[in-house]
Amino acid sequence: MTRDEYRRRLAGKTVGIAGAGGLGSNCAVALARSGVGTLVVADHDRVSRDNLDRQAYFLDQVGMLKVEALALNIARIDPAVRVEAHALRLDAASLAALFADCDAVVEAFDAAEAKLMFVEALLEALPGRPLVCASGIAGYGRPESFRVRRSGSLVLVGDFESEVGPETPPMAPRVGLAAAMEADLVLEALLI
Amino acid sequence: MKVKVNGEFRELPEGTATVRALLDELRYSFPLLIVRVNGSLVERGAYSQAPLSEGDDVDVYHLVSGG
Repeated sequence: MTRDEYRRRLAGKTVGIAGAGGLGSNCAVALARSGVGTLVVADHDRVSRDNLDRQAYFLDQVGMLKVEALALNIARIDPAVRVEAHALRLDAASLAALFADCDAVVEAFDAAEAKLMFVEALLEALPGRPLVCASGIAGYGRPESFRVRRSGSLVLVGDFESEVGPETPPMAPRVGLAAAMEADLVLEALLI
Repeated sequence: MKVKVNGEFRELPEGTATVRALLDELRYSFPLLIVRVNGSLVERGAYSQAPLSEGDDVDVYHLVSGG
């Protein structure tokens, strides 16, 4: 396929992104640049100064809702991309409702508990729908430890052991790597 | 007993009859896991009741925080 053919196909697709932090904001930007037509993004949080070490926001956006800031940033990259921004804290019911019409859904939460909620809720509500998750992205280095695990319609990326903590903060390169891998796996699912 | 774990066949001791026993045998120690047996998600809290049989296809993934 040529570049134009790829972009024409992706323009008709809708991708859900659960969370607009390090994974979600960077994944959304990669998908927008790829030409995905519609992004449905949900996050309850606001941009903080500390978020700028890895998330796709700017200093003058501190205090804004992340989903609003993300919609603005994507509009500056490509106004043809539609961003459906939902400022809310997702739970099992809202996950299933919000992403029901998406061609693929990205897990971009921080807490492991929320990641499991995503998997439990959407495997049940949207069987067979491509779901892309991340686990184990903290710290720096060892990029060769990143793996892709496939279990039917569910795909996971990460090293599956580096947990964020006081000594292992999330840092831009590994978070960005995981976000880019999630976006890449979404394209793979959309272009089959 | 032969069971497929994350795409590879593993020989498990006879009597590894539940998901819980498999997780203990293979030393999965992280508190949060995704476990699927033949494509079906096993709810957390149901590992001790979820039966395991010869030839089952099991996927187990650690979930750790960070995003």
